[in-house]
Amino acid sequence: MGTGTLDLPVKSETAHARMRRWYSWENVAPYVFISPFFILFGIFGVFPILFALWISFRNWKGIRGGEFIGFENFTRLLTDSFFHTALKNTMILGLLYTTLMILLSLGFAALLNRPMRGRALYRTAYFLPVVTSMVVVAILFKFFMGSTYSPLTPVLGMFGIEFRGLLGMAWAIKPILLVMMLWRWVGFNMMIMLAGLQSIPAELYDAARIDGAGDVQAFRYITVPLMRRVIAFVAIVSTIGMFEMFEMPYLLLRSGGGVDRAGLLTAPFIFQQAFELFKFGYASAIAYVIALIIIGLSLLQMFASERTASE
Amino acid sequence: MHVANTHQDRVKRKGRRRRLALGRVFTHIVLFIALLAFLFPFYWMITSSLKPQADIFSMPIKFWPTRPTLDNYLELLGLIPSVVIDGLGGHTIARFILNSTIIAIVYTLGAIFLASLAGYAFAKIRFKGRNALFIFMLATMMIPASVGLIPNYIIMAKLGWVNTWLPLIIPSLATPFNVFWMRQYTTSVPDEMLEAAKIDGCGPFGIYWRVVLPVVKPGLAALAIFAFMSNWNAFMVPLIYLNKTELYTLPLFLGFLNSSSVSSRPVPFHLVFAGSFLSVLPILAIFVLAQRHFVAGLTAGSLK
Repeated sequence: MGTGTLDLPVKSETAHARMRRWYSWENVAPYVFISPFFILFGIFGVFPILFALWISFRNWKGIRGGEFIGFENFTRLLTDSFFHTALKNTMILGLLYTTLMILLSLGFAALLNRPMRGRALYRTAYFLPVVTSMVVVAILFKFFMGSTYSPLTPVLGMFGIEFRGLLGMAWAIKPILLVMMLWRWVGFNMMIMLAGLQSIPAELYDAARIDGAGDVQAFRYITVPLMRRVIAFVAIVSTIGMFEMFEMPYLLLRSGGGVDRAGLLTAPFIFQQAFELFKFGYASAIAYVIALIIIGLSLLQMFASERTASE
Repeated sequence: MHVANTHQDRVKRKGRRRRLALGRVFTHIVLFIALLAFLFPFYWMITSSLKPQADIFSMPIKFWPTRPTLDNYLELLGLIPSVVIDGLGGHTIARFILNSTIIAIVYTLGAIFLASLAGYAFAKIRFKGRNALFIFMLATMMIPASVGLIPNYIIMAKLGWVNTWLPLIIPSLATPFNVFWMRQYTTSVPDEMLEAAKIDGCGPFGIYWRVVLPVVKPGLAALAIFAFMSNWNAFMVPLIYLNKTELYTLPLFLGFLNSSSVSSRPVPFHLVFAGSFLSVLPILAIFVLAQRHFVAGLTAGSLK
């Protein structure tokens, strides 16, 4: 009995202490710390992904809503020639862009990876377009490529070529977009390649040189294999970039893509369907299909680089 | 025999040295041509912004402003009568610079606060669901932003946020990359420092505010630069949400000038060049002053 009365307060005290520890600020703090971010992330990041799926099955126009129409938006994609053009253009440009980007950024990085005069200047200059707003880049390229008063006029004139602006020519639109995107992003990818190159131990090159390997062989058998992951990263980012590129094609050609829709790309196409024609349901379906393509391509590229690396 | 050998060696070495020197010259030529290609558009933008309008559209083309003038800038500021500025309801570039500055600063402060707080929790505090939440957050980074564009518009419309600055600030506060970046940075803070602060009686928020923040300042600076730049340069979101001229941001104003379809006037390139230069100027200034942070922030996470 005596022990019982003694036990009781002790028991309740430990329980109380446990409760206090459970509810203590220390335990709740991490949830409080992440909650400002996660509340916004839930509302504006996660919920929209699910909401978009819901919308894509509806005949949704503007903000008023619409009724359920099953897979109609998706089946319509199969026969929409505008969508096919946008997809084809993006894939052609994406392939060329990614290939050229890898060659150029790795090339510049390799040239700049040794001590030389003016190295810092070169790096800074190449990186300058990366920090420039895409609106300004598009404005400058529109003037250079589209105007008779472009500085290209006298330069090409020296070679006897008459330049009157190329933005109205269907054949020129894709090369112009390609050059513009390479110009804007090469410095960014070059920095990533440089960081990768600097992580390769110098002893490997010394050993190869002793074994009689030349620069080209060292590049082929040391640099490229050890850079696989970095190259894969650049490839993924570049491919995704082409699917998501909006500002530059939009400001150069509007959402229609210019003459013969030669510059019609997926991101401006989604924008056009959504915010110029207000076909919210259809645009969401397109966005979902493009998202699946992007995720598929990045998984494919990651898988490919892992496999070749383990071989 | 011996002599001949060394002679041969010397010749070989000389040849190799000459080849190396030749290679170096070739490298410099390639790099220098590329340098011109990267810098020339900036040169053209700046020099053209100083030309009278007639000289931008004159033949032969002028590579140097022979009659330099600040008229284009004065016109943008509304100090010279201008049809273009009148077409914007009298709003000058000063207005758009102010708008962009307010939006970008509010966004940047919010972004670095939310990201460093969450990053600290993920890096240094053990709690239930920590890894699951973090991996979930990273996984959503795979999904392109265009998927969320339309739902976000509907949400904003329901909240009555269309034609306000809130859509330019609030949704992008929840960028998973920011938290990822701060978590990586905060992981490097030594645990002993946090323990010592705890013994000294610091609570969880005190540790964050007095110990973690000062240590992760470089990471915070890189994130701040990156956040400011992406917001300052943003074009699509303002284009979707803003159609009142007085709310325009600088990129939206430039896009407006650049569209020849508006009231069928020719593009006022003299203003476009001057306005473009003003819009890249702050970013270029930060870039030159804090180049290391810049490159770190932009190329972050690529090798992890």
